[in-house]
Amino acid sequence: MSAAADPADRVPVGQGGAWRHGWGLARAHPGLFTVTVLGYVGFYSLPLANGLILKAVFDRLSGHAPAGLSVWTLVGLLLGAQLLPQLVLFGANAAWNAFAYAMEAMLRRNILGFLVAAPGPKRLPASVGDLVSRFRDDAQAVVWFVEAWVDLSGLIVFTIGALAIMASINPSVAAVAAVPMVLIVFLTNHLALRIHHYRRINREATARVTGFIGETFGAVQAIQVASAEDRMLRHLEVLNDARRKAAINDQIFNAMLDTVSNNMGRIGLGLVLLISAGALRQGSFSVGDFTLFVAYTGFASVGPQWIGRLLARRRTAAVSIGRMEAVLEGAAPYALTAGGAGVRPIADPAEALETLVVRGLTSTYPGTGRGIENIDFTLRRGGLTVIAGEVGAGKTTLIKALIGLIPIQTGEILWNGALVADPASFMIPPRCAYTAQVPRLFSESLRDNLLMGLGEDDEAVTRAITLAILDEDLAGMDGGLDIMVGSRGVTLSGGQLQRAAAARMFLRGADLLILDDASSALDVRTEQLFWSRLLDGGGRTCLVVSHRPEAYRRADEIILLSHGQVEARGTLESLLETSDTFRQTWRDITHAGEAR
Amino acid sequence: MTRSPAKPLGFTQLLKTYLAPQAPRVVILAALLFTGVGLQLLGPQILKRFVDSAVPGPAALPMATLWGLAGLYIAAALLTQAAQVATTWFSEQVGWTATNSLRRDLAAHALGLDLTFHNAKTPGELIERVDGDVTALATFFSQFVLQILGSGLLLAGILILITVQDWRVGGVMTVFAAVAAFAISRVTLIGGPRWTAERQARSEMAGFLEERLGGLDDIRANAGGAHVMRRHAAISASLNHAGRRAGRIGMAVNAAINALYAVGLAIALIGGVLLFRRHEVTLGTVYLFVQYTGMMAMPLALIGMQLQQFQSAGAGLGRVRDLQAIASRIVDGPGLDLPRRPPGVTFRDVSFAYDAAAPVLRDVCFDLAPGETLGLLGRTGSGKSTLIRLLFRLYEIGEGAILIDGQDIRRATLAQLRARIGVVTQEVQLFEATVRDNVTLFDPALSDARVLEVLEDIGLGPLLARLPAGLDSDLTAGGLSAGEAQLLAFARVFLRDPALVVLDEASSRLDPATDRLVERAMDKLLSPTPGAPRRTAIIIAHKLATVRRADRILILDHGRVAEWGDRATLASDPASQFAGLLRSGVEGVLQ
Repeated sequence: MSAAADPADRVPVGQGGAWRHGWGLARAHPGLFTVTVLGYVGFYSLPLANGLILKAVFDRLSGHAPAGLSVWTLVGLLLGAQLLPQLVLFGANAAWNAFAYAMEAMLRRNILGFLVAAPGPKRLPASVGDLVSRFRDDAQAVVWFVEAWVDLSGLIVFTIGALAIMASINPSVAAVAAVPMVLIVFLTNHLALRIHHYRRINREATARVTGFIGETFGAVQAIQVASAEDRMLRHLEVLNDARRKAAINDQIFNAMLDTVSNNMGRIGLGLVLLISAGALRQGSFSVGDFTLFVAYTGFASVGPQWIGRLLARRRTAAVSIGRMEAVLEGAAPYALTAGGAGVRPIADPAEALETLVVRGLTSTYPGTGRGIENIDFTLRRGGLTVIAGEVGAGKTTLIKALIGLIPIQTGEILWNGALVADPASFMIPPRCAYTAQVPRLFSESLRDNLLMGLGEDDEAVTRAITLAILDEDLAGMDGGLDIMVGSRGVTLSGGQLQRAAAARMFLRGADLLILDDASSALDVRTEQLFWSRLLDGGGRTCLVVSHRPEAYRRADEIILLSHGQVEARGTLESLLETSDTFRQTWRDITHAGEAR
Repeated sequence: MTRSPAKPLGFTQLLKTYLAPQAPRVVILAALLFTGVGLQLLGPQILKRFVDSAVPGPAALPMATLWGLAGLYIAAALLTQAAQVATTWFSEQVGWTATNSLRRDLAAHALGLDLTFHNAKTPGELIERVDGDVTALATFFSQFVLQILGSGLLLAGILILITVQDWRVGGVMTVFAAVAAFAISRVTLIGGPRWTAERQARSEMAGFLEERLGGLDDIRANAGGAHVMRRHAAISASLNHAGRRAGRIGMAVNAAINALYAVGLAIALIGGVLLFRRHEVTLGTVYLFVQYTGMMAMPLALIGMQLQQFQSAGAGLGRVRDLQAIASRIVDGPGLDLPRRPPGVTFRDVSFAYDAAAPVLRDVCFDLAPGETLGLLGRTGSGKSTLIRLLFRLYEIGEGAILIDGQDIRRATLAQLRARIGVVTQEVQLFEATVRDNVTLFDPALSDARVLEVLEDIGLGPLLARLPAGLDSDLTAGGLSAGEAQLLAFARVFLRDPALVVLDEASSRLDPATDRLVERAMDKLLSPTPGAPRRTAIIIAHKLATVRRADRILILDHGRVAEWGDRATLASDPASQFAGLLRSGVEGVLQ
């Protein structure tokens, strides 16, 4: 793969974007940033005194400067000048640590907050395992970029000071000492270009490994029953190997960056030896001057090295920012590092639902041709609308498009006649609540899972649980509402999971309830109870995907979807009369009756 | 793959296990290291010569020699550069090869653990355990021994060369270096538990994020964003706390090293000045002392840094060990020769509980003859799924025994057992990989023709036609409907052609048209073909149509067998629960 051929190398964040993002992070923590920078400026510039004191010591010894402080005083001063920066560093480092963790948290907060609460449909650009690595490694890459600012600000002060002092002693030797510094900036900048490329490849290879590990353990039961462990491991080995190669390329160029600077410093020192030999012999350049030049030249290469490192880290950060911004599709520019973005807990209260009109709704998955096209329907307060249709007919797509989980290409949604501009932020509690086909719970207590931050008391939770017919199950659970449901709710059975998710929906107190096949894992008695408790309570408006006769019988309207379009609609009776497809469907789901 | 608990590894075993196969690389690495140390020791010697011979006086040398010394210094710098890059290449090779093997072994170990373990761990947590913790070990493999060795050599070289100049200064500096090394190692050792805590907090964060990202739709549609953000803030705060606590120790080590360096420099300078005034050493030698003392800071710092890395690695290793020490509750059987023909299945007084307080299955008994189909019925939570999981030995049964062809399944290896059983579950796990890998579960041995044939046969032809690269198309999240995923699960079973099949609520979420495809697939799966007798089958059924396929009926109630018998007999016995179910006139669904 060549560098130029890959579009990701031309990420728009490239020039200056990383700076602005870094600045956004710094501005959000002004105190920590300032203390860190000042601390590092102190830490790096205080050693300028060392060179001067060492020079004085050797000048005294060589007899070049017979007057002045005694050698012993100078040695004492040298000790002090070495110890003081350590105290400064202690404080600076503490501030930096706090700053670094705060920056990482802020990046996570902005991404996660966007995903869970920002307007508009959200599409995850990669596997969950890959995304977890973006939260970890890519966030850290940006933090390291800011770290380079901090170090560099201190080193710039030192380098300017060192050059000034050296120039005041012997301008021509100082000029020679400065030559390698310029070279380092050029060399490291060139290397950094390569580093950018290899770092990106390395990150992608890493993401593939973490993504695959995540998927594997997410599907561990399926793998074990299929005895596919060895095959999964072989695939992991392939991905591991690709990552090893990518990582080594990445590391080699980074090592070159680091060592080139150090050794350039030594070469600079060699040049100082060449140039100063004559002056030393003539006596115009003292041994003390020589020791000062050696001390400064050795360390002065660190500054240019950090310039290279800064540029390298900027490129790395740009890649990482690109990967993080890919998650923030449709967000405002620089939302990644914008401060103060809070998450609105729930939608503003709106007028109660009277009618919900959907007109010409079209939503297709790019590239697949799957989706829904030009769907119209109307929901009325208290009504039950059932969406029917075969696999791939677009039932789930319709529901997800309606509540803004996936994008709509055309069409409009009218809530009591008013246009819904952004379904994602409008079709949520307290207006609308939803239970997915395969709902997810989280590793928290059952209570926390159901409440999801609502302030309701246990009585309300219990009511929702009764409504969802989870009450009997709950009575059998150790710890009741405090039971931990395990990773993804795994300690609950499939039916319990669906009913828990339904209870979570009921707790939202929404006007409109949307259920995607929520009763599929329920047995008959439970399901009958479910529907009667849901619908006989009165007043609830429901939009439901179902294949159950019970739902069809109770429906005010059935919408039969086929290949993403409405094929027929009406009540059960009228559809049985008018639609051949529906009659077939009905026979399929009720042919159980013939068995009697 | 071994399923016996791997013996937890210490650092030395770890090095032995993963470095031994790379011996030649390690040897080259050591050679490069010696070269590097030698080049570093050379520098100050050149400077001493230069100072002594540049200043006018009796020791002055011709200018050409001075320039020669300068040239030698520059050449040494260039050589050092080459040695350092080569060292990095070799050490990274060694490190990545070793840690990749470790990652693989850990993944293998975790994959071999039973579901009791996996239910308590999120996949995100396991990403951290299998990848994150091992990455923390990477520097240990690639650098630890070499850096410690290299730093030790450099330190020894410096002390010897100082002693050669003057044994008194050499002696004092040796004592000083010993004190410094001791002090640094003491300070460093405080940090271990703190790094463990930091890694633990990171792994919690990863687990939290993984779960929330996977359930994003549920969060958004229920306006749970604020709650998620509050939880994130809490976990962030504990990560922040743990990280800063660990960082403070790191700083303390740094400061200690630098302070010691300052003291060392003062000692060297005092010694040098005293000797110079007594004309026992030259000015160049005093400068050599200063230079070498300055050089001591680096190996000391490196040793400190390595000890710190060692701790961080130790924290990672501790967690790696913890993971390795978790033994599967399921012990692999000695092996059993299970014939390919459809087996009989017997449950004999099987009891099971996920935790001791609440038994899920109690004294379950039934007997299924070869080629028979069992209809398994019961309310949700009655123990149907658990019963199936026990058959696969995903959990170890509490009491009783499960027999296949009269043989206890615990005597077969897990691979033997599971190779004989195929399953279609309601939740179908898909991977971000090609369609082919998803259907074959990464088995390259199956031919494309066979895979295509099965997919066409099962009714996924239209899906294949839709995909740009056919079998090699990548399956992305959301690319398949639930029904298509279900059919894909059937395809997986057909490809493996097992003699015993389990269908777990397989048809409950399907629409009528796909349902017909599934019915057809079931017909095929459960009918005898020429040369192959009818498969034995267990079906968890919700639909009467499916129940009608059954020869036997088992009704579970709260983990007990409520009814067991021949379907036709039960149906015609008006007193049976089964007949009651049929009578209740509930279409579509069964209790």
